[in-house]
Amino acid sequence: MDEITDSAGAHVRWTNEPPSLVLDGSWTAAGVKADALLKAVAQALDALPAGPVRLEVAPGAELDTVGALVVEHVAALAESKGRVLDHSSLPEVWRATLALIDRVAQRTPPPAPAPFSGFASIGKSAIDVVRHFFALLAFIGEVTVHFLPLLVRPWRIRWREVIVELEAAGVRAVPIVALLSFLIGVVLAYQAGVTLDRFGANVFIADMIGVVVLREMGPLIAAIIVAGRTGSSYAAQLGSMRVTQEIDALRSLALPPAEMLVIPRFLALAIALPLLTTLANAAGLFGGMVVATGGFGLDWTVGLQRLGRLGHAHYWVGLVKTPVFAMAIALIGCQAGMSVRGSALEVGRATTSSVVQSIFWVIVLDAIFSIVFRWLGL
Amino acid sequence: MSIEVRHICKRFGAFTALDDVSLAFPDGELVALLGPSGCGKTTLLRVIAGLEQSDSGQVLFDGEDASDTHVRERRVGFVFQHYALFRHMSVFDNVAFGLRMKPRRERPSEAEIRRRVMALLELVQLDWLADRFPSQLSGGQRQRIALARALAVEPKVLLLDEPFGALDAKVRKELRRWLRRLHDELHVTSIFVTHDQEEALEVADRVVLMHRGRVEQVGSPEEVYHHPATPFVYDFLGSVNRFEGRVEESGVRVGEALLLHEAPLPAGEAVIAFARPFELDIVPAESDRGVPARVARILAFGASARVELDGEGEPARRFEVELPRERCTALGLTPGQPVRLVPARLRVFAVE
Repeated sequence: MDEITDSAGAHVRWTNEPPSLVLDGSWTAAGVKADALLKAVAQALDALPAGPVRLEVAPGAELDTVGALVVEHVAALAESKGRVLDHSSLPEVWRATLALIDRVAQRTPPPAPAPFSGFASIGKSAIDVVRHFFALLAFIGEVTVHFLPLLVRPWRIRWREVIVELEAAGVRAVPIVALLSFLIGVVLAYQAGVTLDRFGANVFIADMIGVVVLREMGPLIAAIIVAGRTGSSYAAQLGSMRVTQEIDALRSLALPPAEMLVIPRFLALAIALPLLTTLANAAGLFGGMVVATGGFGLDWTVGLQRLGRLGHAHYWVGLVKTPVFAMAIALIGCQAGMSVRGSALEVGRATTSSVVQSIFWVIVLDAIFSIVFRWLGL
Repeated sequence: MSIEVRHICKRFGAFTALDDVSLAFPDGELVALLGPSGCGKTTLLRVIAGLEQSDSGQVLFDGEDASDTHVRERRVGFVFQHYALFRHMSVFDNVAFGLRMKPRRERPSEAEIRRRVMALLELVQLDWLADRFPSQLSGGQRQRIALARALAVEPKVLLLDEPFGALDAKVRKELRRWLRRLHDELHVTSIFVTHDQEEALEVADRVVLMHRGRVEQVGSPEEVYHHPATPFVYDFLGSVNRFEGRVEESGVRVGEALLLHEAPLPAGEAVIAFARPFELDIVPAESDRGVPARVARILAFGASARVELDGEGEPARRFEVELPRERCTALGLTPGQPVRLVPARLRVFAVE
């Protein structure tokens, strides 16, 4: 019998008759030195004759899970040398511990948490933005496909629904649009007045308010209020109809939701927004004039004359933009609603995102219009 | 109209909802799609309705490929789990909506619509509610209105997605009998989705069992109940006791015990054996037959008594036995008492 002893506890012996490896000493965390033991085992295996090798345990030998891991290593080493280890004469306790190690080893480790990376999240949100943009484009396409045939057969448009929506989006928005536009007019006139007064150019306050209100502020204020009021309510209405499967129910009755729900809303806004803009213009100009005449000594008739002279063109320039804003708001609101999947929680998210997006697009479109008009010399 | 689906596949991201499903639904039958949640049954129904596009495969209506036909031409009526009635319309308008929205050529006159809607409301026995709004109705009433709405467009196929899922147990039971009668009257090819095996077995002409996007078994209620094709089907249709063991010459060896059974499988094969609660008998612990267990709870109301038992081993198996009341009294069972379980009948499946 040859003996190869590890300095501390665990050792390995081997015998030729019958060919076996004997594990002795304390195979514990304190007792094993894996590399020395494995080297010893390798020597032993080389020395043993060919054929299966029995794995035995000397009386009094100890094992814990660390030791068991080393035993697993021994088994793996034997396998790599093409030797078969026979575990059958191991004591029950040893086998149980080895089985335990085996079981733990087979457990799949929990997936590593994704490392935080600023770049990754920027990339992800960029992809989301692009995806969302394509979803919006697809939706616009779908609505267009349903809208074009209706242009030829306008009597098939659901005018009743259009009128209902017109009331909700238009008539009910009158007070708030009027009030806010009036206040914007007041603020603008003050700012213009303070500056122009220094040069004694009070007369131009009217020109200033006229241009700013008619070209920009009127359409923008009306559009932003409508985006907040109506765009969000479209998103919420359609979103909750998705949750309650009413949209699916429509489709199952062979009624395309784009035709039933989206187009009436879209038409209602396209009619309501120019009208609201006109109201906003009037209220804004009135507010401005009140301040100009009251605070800066401008004469009413002179002011109105100046407004009348330049107003016409600017009014139309401002108004042309509004159907485009209306389309953007209606489509974004409806798309956000239609994209709701599943729960009511999603409806809130859709509503919020529709407001943010539609205001964003209104301002972007306004900027584009400014550039185009500048270019056309309007 | 008969419906056939061929090799339908549908994935949602990484999740496979339908994995190569092929089925035929003969004309005029009421078929139940049965399975646990997430097995793909609702997705299949939505694909048939045209509410969902399958990734591949065909849907055939009367032998004609309907995969590309619009929902409009499919002529299906769909009933949703949560009714999906139009909230801002009265009951009458809800039912009439599909008719009123038809293109002018196909649209019946307002008087005809009125007649048809009232006839349908009578059919669902709710004509007295015509002027109410959905929010004023109970769940069972709403579901019947939803059914009337689906029937209004004279569908050739009626599809019901867990129609009774949101109702309480008593109304459910009533409504499913009512649905059966209605189907016998109308004879529209109908498919309904459910996760309730009792409902499927009671109402349907045929039952399709689905599991993980695949069809496990198709058959009449008796067939699937008495001759389940797979362990899943057996397990899903009613409560069940499960034994794991190995086939031997004269039976199945479960732990120390040998359960007598003629297994059609070669000896040595690892198997799962099932027995329904009423197929198990309890014998005293001194007996040499059966699997040892310990009585946990005795529920004795009604004609039979239900005994819950804990098996041996880790983790402990739970067993459920249904006995005639007299037998239970004769055994004098008390909680904690060790006993043995002897199956009168076993169904053996090879371990996959």
